[in-house]
Amino acid sequence: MIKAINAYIGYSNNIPILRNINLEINDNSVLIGPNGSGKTTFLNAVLGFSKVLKGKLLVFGIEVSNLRNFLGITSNIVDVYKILSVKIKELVEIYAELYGVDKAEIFSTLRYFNFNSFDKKLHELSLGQQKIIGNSLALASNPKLALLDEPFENLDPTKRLKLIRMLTEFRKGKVILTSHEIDLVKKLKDWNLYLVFNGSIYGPFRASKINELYISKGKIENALFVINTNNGCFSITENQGDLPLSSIGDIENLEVMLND
Amino acid sequence: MIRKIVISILTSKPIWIWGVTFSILWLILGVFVFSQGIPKEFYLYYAGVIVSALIVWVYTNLISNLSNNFILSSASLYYAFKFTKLTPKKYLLYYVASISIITLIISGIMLVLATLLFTMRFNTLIFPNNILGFLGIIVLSSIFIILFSVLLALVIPPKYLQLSSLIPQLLYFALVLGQIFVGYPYLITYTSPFNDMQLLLFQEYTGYNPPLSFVNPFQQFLNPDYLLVSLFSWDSVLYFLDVIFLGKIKPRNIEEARQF
Repeated sequence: MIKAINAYIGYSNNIPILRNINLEINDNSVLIGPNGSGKTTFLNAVLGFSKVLKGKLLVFGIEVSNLRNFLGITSNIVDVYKILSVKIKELVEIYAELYGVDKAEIFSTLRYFNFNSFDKKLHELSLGQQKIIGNSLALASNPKLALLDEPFENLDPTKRLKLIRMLTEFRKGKVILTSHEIDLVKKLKDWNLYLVFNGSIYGPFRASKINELYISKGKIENALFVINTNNGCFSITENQGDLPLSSIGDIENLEVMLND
Repeated sequence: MIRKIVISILTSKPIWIWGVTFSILWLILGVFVFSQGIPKEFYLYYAGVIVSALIVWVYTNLISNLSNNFILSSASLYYAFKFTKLTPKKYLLYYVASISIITLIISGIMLVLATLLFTMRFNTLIFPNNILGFLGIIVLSSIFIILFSVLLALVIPPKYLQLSSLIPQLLYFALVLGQIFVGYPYLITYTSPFNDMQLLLFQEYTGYNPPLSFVNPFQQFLNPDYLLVSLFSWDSVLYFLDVIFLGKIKPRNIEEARQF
């Protein structure tokens, strides 16, 4: 599905945010990492919003820059759904037509999330409602690959659980999502997990094995990965270490907890 | 899609306030204040100058608003061309059809108002000489409007967002009002699309050949066929350029539009 070969990715020339990325993603996956680590930049590179400065990034075997009218990749980024300033009802109809899918499917997904502000425009919605629109358009448009950037952000607990249920039952295609909330990611048991730190991507791990992963400060022998951050390095180990990964809750807490 | 574009633009307040209402105010001034001492045989001629200049003013405002909209939807367009069925050609055609409908509606309102007010003022029916020809020029002009707006949006960096409003208005003042109050050589008058639109509307409204300058209206005349060829050429060249530029559109950071 996605193959990165020695890829350097960034927004402006010669300033890579992700460095020397080598990976192949063929399954449902979560990119987990703190803010600014490069998770969104990676998804943006698949969409063509960030640049591959060096190396290659192939999506279904095609270089991102060569994709044109490629049906099957969808995104939940709200900015891509601002083609016209119209009511949500009409916006859904427009994108159903552009994606070539049944609008009823999108409407029913929106209703699943208790969304009923169809007469409002996108900019009149709360951030949570905008996220529901993005998630629903991405997941209900028959994607081979749905790219969800922070899909749980700004959602209330009930809708987060609904989204988790929808993701675990999603069979139409594959999903790659970014998050910094380990508690939620733990529920996506048979998904692959990638850790993103400081411009590097580590993994995959099985999300079901998250309870067996530990984090320890410093460089540890036989570690699965040694992760370098601006505040020093730490190691990911199996079955023993300073801190179970699953206990962190939010990956943003990691460095604070390790430094305590 | 066309219906949604039409609704989206017709519900835009700036077009009605700055474009239509402002023009109606000038129409009222033109009918009741500036028309003192106009000889009877020039009633239609005078009305033709006012109506054509004001309709092109409404078009100028449409260009400003549309190009602002295109700049703001660059990310959506980039995404849509890459990951949906939408192509630059289809997009332009949707817009050409939509803007034709919008200009016909707005010009129709202006025309009805102008007919009522001038007829009331001059106590004789003031009505376009060739209504079908007038409508034909409106459609040809609407093609120019949409294509020029897209080009402006694609070449102006978001940092200079205000230019997309300023440029059409400066061109209107310099070319249309300049031709009416000062006069320009043949080359400028024929090749300026703003003058082509105004003078062709004038010609269809009055049935008179447009003059090179309205300062000395009966000395040198313009050939309407050349004006038509010039406007048609502008439409063709802009269509060609827009298709190329839209195909290479890049998502743009709207935050750059902030001045401080």
